[in-house]
Amino acid sequence: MNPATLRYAAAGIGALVLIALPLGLPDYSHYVLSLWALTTIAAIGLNLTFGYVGQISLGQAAFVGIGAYVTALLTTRGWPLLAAYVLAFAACFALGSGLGYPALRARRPLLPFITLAFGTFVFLVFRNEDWLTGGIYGINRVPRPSLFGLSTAAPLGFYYFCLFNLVVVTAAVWWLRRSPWGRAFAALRANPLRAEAVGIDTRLYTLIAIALGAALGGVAGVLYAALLQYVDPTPFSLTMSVSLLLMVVMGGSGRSLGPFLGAAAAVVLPEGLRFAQNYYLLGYALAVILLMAFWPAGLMGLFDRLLTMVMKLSAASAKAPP
Amino acid sequence: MTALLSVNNLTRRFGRRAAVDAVSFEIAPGEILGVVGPGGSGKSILFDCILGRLAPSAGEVRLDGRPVTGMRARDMSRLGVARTFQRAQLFPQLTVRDNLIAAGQERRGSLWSRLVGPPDAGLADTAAEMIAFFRLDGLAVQTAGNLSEGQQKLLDIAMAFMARPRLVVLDEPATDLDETVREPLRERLRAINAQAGTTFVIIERNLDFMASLVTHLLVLAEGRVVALGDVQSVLASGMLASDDG
Repeated sequence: MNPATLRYAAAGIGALVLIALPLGLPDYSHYVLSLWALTTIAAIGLNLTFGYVGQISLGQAAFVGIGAYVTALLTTRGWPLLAAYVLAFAACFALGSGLGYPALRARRPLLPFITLAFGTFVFLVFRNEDWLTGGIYGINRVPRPSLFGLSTAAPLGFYYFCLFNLVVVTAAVWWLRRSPWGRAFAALRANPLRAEAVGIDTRLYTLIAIALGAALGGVAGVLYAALLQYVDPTPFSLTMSVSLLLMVVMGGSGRSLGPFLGAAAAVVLPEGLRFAQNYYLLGYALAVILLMAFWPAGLMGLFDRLLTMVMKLSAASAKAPP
Repeated sequence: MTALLSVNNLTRRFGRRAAVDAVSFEIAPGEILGVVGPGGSGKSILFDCILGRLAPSAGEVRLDGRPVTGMRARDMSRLGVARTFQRAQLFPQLTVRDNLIAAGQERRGSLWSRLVGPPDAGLADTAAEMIAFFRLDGLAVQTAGNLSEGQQKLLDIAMAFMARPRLVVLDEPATDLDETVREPLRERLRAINAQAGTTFVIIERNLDFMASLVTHLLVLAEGRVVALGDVQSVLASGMLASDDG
């Protein structure tokens, strides 16, 4: 089998596992898996910004928050969820490019500072503008959508809805990556001097990646609001932005599967290790440090190494006389 | 015929010293101009000023009579100007084929069509031709960073031709190349010039490589033009006698 076929087969098996996984598990695991799926979407967005074009954003939580509040505001007033998707995507895309533009005009890396300030600003708007956001009380009774007459009100149904979103986002990013845009991202990251010399508008492509990354944050927010059916400002702080960035790095930045693994380590694993209680966070922090020290390419890098080792071993055993 | 590229009184000062001092020349379409001069004579700075990497202190550069002084590299590329680099500048993590396609894709279709269109931007055949033409056969799916130095240099040069440029500025193309590759490279460049009418400006220290390729020569010394003209007359003038660069 050639590598491409192998990859498609692996993706197919992965999708089947994700479909079968929640069956027989309690409702709470459906909630955790839904949270994992939407967190992965937010991390995929950040992977575009950080992993593909190398820009650090410390404001991904703000975009998730904007997506969540847009959804809460619209759907509690009777608008369909589709309207929330469109508005959240468009607003975050526009804000992302608005923040990226001034940051890229400077030679120094300004995006972390601009997004940091933006994140704080958005958080304060969520908390203080009671007339719009409900302040610290937030917005209640966010409805879950119905799809083709099927309700997603039950936890399992909603998980499949999140999974469907994840599949669509993954396919879109896969398409993007193998298109000339993806090649331009890789080229400008590898050698901006040459990229400009062959006519690649490095600023424009970087801006596109930042804006798309922000927009995917918005999409994750739409799902977040519908999952919890309630939004308040607390989750959308710097902590979430940093933890999303850690997921990207831990999974393997710039790798398609990185966000899946990073989000699993941050969202699903703690549930499995509940007995460890507070030590989990300690262990997680330690794991990130060790991973960065020894395998800067993240879990995907570790996976690559293991794969090479296994292949070498099997090649060696095939050569060895019986 | 109007000049394809004209450089008028181009000057670049660093403090009081003029590294490039009132340099003027013109190239008509299809010509091959060699720029020679000893190390420190201002060749590279002249190139950087023409290609917009350095802002000239005075003077101007025109392409087809339109001023392009200080224009960004990617805008120059859009106008059909390509360049190669003295030390190969590649996208090391990408394959040879992807390096080539990346070098041509921005001149194909619109931004939108590059997202929704075919992944190779319709350049797979051109890339394959380039691979064969520049003797990189069998290396299409190799990662560019894993090529030998000479192969990297050839790839760097091949990339300049992916967008079918009108003017190619070559920065020491024969340096780092094996004797066995130099001659074929010269042949390839001559063939492109003959078939596509592509105009070249070449800096090169290797005079043998240069002399049998260029149609015109410009000799620089201390930033000034000391000889300029068709290759026979400059060689006959003896201005290159002490020059080995």
